[in-house]
Amino acid sequence: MSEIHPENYSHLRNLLCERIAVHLPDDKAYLAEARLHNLAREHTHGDINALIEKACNDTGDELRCQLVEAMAINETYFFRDPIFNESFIDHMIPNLMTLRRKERSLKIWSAACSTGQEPYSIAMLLEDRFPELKDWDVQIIASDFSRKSLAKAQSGRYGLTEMNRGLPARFMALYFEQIDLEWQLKPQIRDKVSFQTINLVQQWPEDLPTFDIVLLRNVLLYFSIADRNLVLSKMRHQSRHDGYLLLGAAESLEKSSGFKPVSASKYGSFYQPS
Amino acid sequence: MATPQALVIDDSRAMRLILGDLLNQLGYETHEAGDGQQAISLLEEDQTIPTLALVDWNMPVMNGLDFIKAVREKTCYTDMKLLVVTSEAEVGHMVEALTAGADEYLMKPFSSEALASKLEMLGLRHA
Ligand SMILES: [Mg+2]
Repeated sequence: MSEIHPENYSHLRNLLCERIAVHLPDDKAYLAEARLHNLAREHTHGDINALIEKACNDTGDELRCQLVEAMAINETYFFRDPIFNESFIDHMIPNLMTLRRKERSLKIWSAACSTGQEPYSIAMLLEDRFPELKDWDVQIIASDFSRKSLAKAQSGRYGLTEMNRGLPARFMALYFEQIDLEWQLKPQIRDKVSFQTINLVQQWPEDLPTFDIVLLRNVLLYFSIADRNLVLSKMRHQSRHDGYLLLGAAESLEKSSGFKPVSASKYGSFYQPS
Repeated sequence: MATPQALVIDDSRAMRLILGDLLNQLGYETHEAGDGQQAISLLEEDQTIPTLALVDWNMPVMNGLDFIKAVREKTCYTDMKLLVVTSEAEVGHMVEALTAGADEYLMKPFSSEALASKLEMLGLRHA
């Protein structure tokens, strides 16, 4: 494997920062080497330095986009963290069902959905645990900046490794069908999620509704403080005053963020506008 | 706390070794059986009931499904978690296994993370 020249690594860091506000540390060149391996094979006979140079000098933007997407792959799996069982089922959904019983509507945003396991997990949970929601207007919007991840998410198809992680066997039996060596979510779940390309640090679509639940998990930790504050303040405007914001298990917010922690869960990390 | 016990039931010796190894790494003491009948004899001889049994599907003498049915008939084994471990070609059996009383399903080949994630889903501790 070729080693990245410091100059190219710095080009790459600038590109990631400029496009998705991600700050790649000085010492993560090995990560870039691993993640760009396939793209380099496709475009520059495996030469990663040539790949970065080519992307930087390209007149079109396509290769630069692909570079950013390849770098930003986010690990995700079905029912990531026990937070789903604890806070979602026992607290958030029942509470919102009481609060919204008149309007009978529930809007959920998975704001960095990567390959789709998170929004689909929610769709399966709602279907399985809250049959009362059948005649409600439930919207699950899932977004990511990466078109590549979104394409996979939209297909609803997963391989063995993905199926083996986190997904209860019962849900696999109920909601998936096997196609060759992969499994595909049945339309009854797939149709519940609508996907959009949204880059959190760029302009958000104007027709985005205000949400009852926003999942913004394991995203903020890669942002600078300024970008983090910007995203949070936009997120506050996009949230109902009594709605919820869910972060990753290891993330937390300061008081100044405009969100206050809800202390009902031992898994922490869920917030409401303050 | 006592070391948790796991029973590995598979007719392939290689598979028993692999599974046993992974479980040891996750903090389990393991016992092995080559088919369902052997597993039942082992359970009857032994005083302590394992917290977990990993069950292969296709085995001679008594297969995985019959083992699950036999075990789920006896109340003393109610707390023993049954994790079916099979190749992906046999996934069609999953509903049958769950109906018979299996708790979870793991497809071969799998990583140690996948096994750990299943144990977590079953509410079992692991190293
Ligand atoms: Mg076998």
